[in-house]
Amino acid sequence: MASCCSEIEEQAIPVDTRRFAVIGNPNSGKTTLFNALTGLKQKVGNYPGVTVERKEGAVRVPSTGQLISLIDLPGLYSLTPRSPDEVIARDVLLGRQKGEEKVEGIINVVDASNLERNLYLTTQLLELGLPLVVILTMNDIAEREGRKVNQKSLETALGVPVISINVRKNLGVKYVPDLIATLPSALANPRELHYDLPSLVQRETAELRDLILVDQPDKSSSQAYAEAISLLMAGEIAPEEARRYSSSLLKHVVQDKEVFDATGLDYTSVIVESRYGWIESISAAVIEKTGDNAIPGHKPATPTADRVDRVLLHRFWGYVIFFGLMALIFQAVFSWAQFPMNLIGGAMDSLASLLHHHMPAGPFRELLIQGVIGGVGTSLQFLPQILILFFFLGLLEDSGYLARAAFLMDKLMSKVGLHGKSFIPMLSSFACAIPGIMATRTIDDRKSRLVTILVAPLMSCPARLPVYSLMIGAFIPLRFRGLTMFCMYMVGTVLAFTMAWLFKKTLLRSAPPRFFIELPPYHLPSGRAIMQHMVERSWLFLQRAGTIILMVSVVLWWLSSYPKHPSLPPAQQLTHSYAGVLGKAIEPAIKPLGFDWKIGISLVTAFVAREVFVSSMGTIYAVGDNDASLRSSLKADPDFSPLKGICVMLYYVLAMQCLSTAAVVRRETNSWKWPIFQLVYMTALAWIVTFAVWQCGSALHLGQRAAPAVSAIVSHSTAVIGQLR
Amino acid sequence: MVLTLERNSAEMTDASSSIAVPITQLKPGKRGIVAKLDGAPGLRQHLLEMGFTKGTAIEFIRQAPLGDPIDLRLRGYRLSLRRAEASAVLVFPTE
Repeated sequence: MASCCSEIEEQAIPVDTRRFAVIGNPNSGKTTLFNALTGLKQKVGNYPGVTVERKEGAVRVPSTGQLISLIDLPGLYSLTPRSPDEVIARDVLLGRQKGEEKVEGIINVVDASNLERNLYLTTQLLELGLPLVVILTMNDIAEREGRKVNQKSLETALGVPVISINVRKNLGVKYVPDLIATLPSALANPRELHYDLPSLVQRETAELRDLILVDQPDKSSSQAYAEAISLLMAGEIAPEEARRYSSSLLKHVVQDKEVFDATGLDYTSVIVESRYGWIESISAAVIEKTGDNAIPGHKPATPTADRVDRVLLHRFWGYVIFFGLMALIFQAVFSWAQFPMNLIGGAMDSLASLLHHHMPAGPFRELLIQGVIGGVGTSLQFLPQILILFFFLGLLEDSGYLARAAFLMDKLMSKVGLHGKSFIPMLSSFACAIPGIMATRTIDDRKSRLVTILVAPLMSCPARLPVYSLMIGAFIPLRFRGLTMFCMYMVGTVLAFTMAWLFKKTLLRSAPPRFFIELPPYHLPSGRAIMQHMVERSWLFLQRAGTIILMVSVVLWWLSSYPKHPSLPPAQQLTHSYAGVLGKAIEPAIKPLGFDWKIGISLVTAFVAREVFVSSMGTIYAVGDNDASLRSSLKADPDFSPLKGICVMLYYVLAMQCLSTAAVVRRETNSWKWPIFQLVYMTALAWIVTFAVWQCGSALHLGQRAAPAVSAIVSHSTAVIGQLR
Repeated sequence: MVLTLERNSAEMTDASSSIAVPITQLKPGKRGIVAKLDGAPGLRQHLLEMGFTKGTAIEFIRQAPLGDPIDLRLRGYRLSLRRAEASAVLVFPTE
């Protein structure tokens, strides 16, 4: 997986390194190119205060040996600010993003098979007056469809260097750094693009540009012109933007708009249409009709993607294939992950016993074994599921199928105010909410993305299974077990959609998100790109989530182990530890749910991970980890009724009992507000629902301790028929 | 260096009707040429930037099985829009 260029040592990038921004349409191959150039040595983070991801990498120029620094900007169709992505991109390019050094030039990735729309962004970039080079990709697809782009003609038409490469096959990528290095650090004569604009528009825009230059003289003329256009095109100017300009200037903008209105001129249409007019003339000049398409009068063949979509988007077969794929992925993440997860679990156990043997007994050893290995082991266990899910997501996205999935599911999602793109993250959350939440990156609308993140953990994940298994195995007659399990899953799913609907109606109200999704041509997925993606996402998970999980696991270990009572058996030790005290302390809060302090302690300790509930209960009932004996103990406990068992399960369906999830939410939303809110609302939801069920159930004397004879029969047949797995 | 370029008018295929209808009223497989855009300024601007300028040829490929969203082809690429927003695009049907 070495990048095409020599490996960059992990050293600080020297201060005088030249910096360039990489920008292009989504699906243009920009990210693949960026990864191919910079390899895995990338710095990934967030821009301050927003959820926009910041990616920076470096590449060495073969001919000079110099390092150049590349900033990967979000995939955009246009610089017109509609979302934080565009605002950040514009600000970075204009050199006004806080904390960012200026970029010297722009590397614009352009998809040849989709030339006109890609060139729209190019026109906006050219207007900025920065040195620019165009990297033309996917010309092979364009050629296949009979509309090859002539690279030399494009170079002449645009007036900037153009290189044609094939990122997927890694052809030509190695020439890119040298090409970038040839860019000057500033354009000597930044040209002004004069589209065929009405004179009124030209005049007013130029006037506004001059006003901006008066206020900010060190700005280049092109940049001021670009800003003038942006101000005049904007419906309302965002406050962050308005702050950059004097009030007299803003007043001038308002007056200009009134002038345009009075003459019946739609400024935006005029600008956009003239940009496209210019683009159309270029495309006529640079596109060569190839193959059959060159034959005069020949009607271009239906593109391959359209033909494939007749099946994949078929009203019946489309859905069959879709659900089949979803079932496959679900199954894969669910069961294929088992083996590696067991391996990791086994490795952790071996490591623990190794330490146990070789270290002197004492608190430090316990800290390492129970706190660190216990905590780290928990997060490591998610790794196989994350890797598998991201493998499949990578396949779906890279091949182009993901967009089709969103297309098929959008109607359903929109009923709750969500997005077609929310479907896959929510489905993935049945396997594990963590990769599901990470997968919400594909959702551009901030509020839809947040709602999806907030409800994702309500989809029952495998970590809840030990709890379901325990309670169902102890209290539910065999023939109702499958049904009960299914009901638990249903409760979670229904509430997820309900809460999504509720959030969309109240807190995170926004206009129904604009569903503009491009259905890209189908590609054979690139194994390399997918691997890189998998590794990157997993590494990010381990890094950030791992540190928080580790810290809190250590704290929880400490709470469960201290103060020490050496004379007491383990069950009592837990009961008398700080965790036990906490469990007893919260008892009043959970008593209305039918819970007692024993459950309370287990809830506290299980916050690290849901499965810990079972081991905690095992400790308290003094039966260790043995499933069967724990079930019998619960059944034998006169205070533990089937109704209580159901209530515990219900609480588990809905409550946020997963620290790792909170850590990932924190990272993905770049704030503490949302994970805390999620914790609060889910706990409240769990409490309310469990309360309702317990109180009503008790009042109706449902599921209480059956007569001794009946419960003897039940437990006997249960033991005979075997465990639920 | 100043570049001044002429705007070529888009190739106009013969319109079979000079009444503009929302693109959502076309039957699957039919084409049209953009006449104008209705709707809120923000939506219009977004549509324009995605290439829905006057005179652009659009093909209505299909609608999703549940009726929404719809699948369009323009300027060599495929775009999917919800009906509510797509209805802002008024076209002259061409075949």
